[in-house]
Amino acid sequence: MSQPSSSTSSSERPLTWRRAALVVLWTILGLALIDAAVNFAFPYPIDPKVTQVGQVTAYFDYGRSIEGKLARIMRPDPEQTAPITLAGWYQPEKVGLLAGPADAPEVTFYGMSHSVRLATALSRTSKRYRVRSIGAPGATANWAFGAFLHDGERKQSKAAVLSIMSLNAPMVTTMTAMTWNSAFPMPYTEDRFELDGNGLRMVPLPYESFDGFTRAFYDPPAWSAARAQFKAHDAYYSDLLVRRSVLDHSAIVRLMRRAYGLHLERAARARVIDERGFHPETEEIRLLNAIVREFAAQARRDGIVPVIFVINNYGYGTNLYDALKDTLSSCAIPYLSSHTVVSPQDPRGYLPDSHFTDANDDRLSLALQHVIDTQLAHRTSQPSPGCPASSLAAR
Amino acid sequence: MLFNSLEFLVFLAIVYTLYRVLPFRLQNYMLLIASYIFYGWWDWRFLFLTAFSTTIDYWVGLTMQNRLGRREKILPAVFITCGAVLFLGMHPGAVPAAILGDPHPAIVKPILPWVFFGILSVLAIAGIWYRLVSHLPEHHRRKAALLTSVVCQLSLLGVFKYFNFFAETFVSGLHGLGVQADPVLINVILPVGISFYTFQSLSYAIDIYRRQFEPTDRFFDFALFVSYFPQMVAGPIERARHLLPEFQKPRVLTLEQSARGLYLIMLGLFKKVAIADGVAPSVNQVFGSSGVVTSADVIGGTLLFAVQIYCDFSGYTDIARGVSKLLGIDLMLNFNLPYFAKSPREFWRRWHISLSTWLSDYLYKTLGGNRGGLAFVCRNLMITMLLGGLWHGAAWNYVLWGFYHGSLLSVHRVWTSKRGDAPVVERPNVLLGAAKIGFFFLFTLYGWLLFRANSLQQVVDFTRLIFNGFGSLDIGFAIPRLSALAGIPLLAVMEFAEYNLNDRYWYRRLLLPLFGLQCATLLFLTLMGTSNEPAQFIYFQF
Repeated sequence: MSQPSSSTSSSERPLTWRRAALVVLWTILGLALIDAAVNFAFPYPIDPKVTQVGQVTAYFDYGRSIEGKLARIMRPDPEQTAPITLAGWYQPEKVGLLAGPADAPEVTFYGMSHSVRLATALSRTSKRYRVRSIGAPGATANWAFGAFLHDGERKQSKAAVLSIMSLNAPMVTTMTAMTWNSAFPMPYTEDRFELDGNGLRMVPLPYESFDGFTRAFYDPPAWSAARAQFKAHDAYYSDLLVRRSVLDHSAIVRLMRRAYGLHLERAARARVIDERGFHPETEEIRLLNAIVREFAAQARRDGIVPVIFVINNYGYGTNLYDALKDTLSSCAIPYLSSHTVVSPQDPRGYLPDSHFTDANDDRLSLALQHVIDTQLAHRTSQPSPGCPASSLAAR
Repeated sequence: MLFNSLEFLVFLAIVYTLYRVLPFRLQNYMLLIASYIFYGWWDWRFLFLTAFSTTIDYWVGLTMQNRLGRREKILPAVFITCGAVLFLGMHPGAVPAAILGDPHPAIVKPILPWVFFGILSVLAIAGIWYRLVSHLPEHHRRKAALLTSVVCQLSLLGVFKYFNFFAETFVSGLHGLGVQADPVLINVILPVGISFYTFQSLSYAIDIYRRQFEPTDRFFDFALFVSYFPQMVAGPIERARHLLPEFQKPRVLTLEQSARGLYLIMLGLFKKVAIADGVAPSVNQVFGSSGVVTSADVIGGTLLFAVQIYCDFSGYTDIARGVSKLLGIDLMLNFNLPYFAKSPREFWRRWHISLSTWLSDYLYKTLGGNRGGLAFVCRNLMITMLLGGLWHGAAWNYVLWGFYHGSLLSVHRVWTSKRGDAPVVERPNVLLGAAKIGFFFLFTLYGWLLFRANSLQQVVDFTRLIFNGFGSLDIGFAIPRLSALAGIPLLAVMEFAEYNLNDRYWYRRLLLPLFGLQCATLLFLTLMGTSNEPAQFIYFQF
């Protein structure tokens, strides 16, 4: 087992500074050539409504600045703009699903697509409820609670279901879906809550509607003010990811920005969760618990049964449930944690896009019916003395 | 600190700048401190093990030659005492908080007095040991000193790496005999790179014992040899006779060396970031699957793992060698186109060369090597490869992998001894050569399946699947990332050119524009790979 000989080139020329400089120059030229070739071979469609593009095209565009991406898919006219830019706004209020007999007790869902799917499953598996759903793509817990507060007709509901999922639980400290999802930014805003003792303080949003957004976006001083507000209160905001510049035209810069964005996202996630679970002392987890408490208190004040739908995504185990269970039990908040129905360790319970399978959505809806029926029949759950008093103040 | 992290980039920039401005002796001190910071970035506490390993072998080396003077006793004693106090009795990480104004920084651990007492006990034992050993006749003294080194280094490995494995195996054996017992396990994480630096340190003592090398009396040079950051955690496992002299003379930094260093760093990052991390999710999906896996999944997953482990490990080595070249220090070659091997013997001359030569020099030859009959040689090969397999990790699949390669080597040895050495032909048959490479690659692949499997049950299941479902094209795992899909063919072409031209610096034959384009492509694919989920280097765990 002797060491192999280290053969060297017979045609080796000594390296001079001139030759080294030429290598560097040719490398830079090569990079420029590849950059141009990528832009030429994988152009992004100009039509703002076309957001479904080829995988490679999307890959090379992930790192475009958030402003650059929004400017391309957005137009002030709702008829001209990409549909995704119209989703998730608090104003005007949009009920995404309304089903079931008009005289049946109303159940309203607030949250992301998981929430909408559960609402759909409930309307499919039972005709005993009138089901309403208010949702946004990838909605965070703060968005869902904000939607509940904004819902002018919420008092007509007998039960309100607030959905929280492990995948985006760390993003509860954001103000807009464009910062935490820089690869596919969505412009809608989310109510931002900050901890105020045991209670919450609400941070005002720069805009709450698509109209408000387009007005701000095309008005440099207003947009600058909005950015400043995001920067101050949104934990995922980064100028490097948001601001548009001429460098957006470079595929190389886009790749670097994408890597930086992922680096920030991983770092932010790692701060909140590791292999042992969510860290209870972090602002994010304390905030989640405070939102759950405040939602339950507000719903009870309104005469509504509060229900928390805890979505344990595949691969996350029961981490989210574990992070919330003390609050759920001490404040006697009715809940449905998905792990009681679908194992978060078994990929067969989930679709490739991370949603539960239809059959599991149906099983979850049956479990939810049991929770709601029990609560409506007895209304037994009241907070114990161990549940901290909650409050919500405007900033 | 990972080579493919921003922290390392900053670290390297600082180290390189200081290195350029400092005089020779200060360069060594600075490199030693930098190496400890590099390792401590992962976990400060285990730096004590490095200090311990260093001190023991430094004393052992000088004791063999009876050259342990007053200075050579005191300096390491102070070093290991400071190491114990700092790394075991304190929280070095709390120091910045104290500087930044934390009124209650938890710098001192409650166990500090015990640490102090413990290290004084160790020094007292060392003193008694020296008094006993130094009065022995030379032959016995040398043997006793070597034995001390071997026992200390292997004890470190035994406790931190193998204790739980052997305890569990022993208790399983008792269960098999109907005796009920619970294993006594120690709850400790495996210190990164412990197998590498203990072997490196051990080789120093053995070389001195064999009179192949004179011990150094410069303690800090030796400490740097054990902990030199580019190769400390994943090799190459250097020999003192090669690396130590590099620390004992002023280095000359040439443009040529720096350029080669930069090329190696670029190539290593390309292999790691673009390819290894790009195929890792697909491999993990196959071997971590709890669902249905097909024959095509197993074959595809194993093939991708062969790519992953090669790019991950050789990528690390390339970066290590490149960084070291920037500092004017040459590290040994660790990989030499291993997948072009035509036989198991050739494979081990090309794969993880620093380990295979270590095992050959210090284990295989000690056992008797090639001297003796065929059965004796095969026995030596089997023992060497079994222990080589176990070196990779405390799990049965590594032992099985070692057994598999030992068997391949033995069969090959029997085959060549019966047939005699192949005659040297002037114009070898290209097709026959390619067929041999392809044929042996299949054996290498099966070895990787054994290596990567999560359990012996998975080995059995996957092996059965390969043969039962052969021909199925039903692939269930995600295709590798774009950077890997584009990077693998490029790497294959580059390695083929190197093999075909038999020239490690083949790229220097390219026209400048073409070489520039090659560098640009490597950089671009690496940038693409930066979007991949960064994974720790596989060999860190060994």
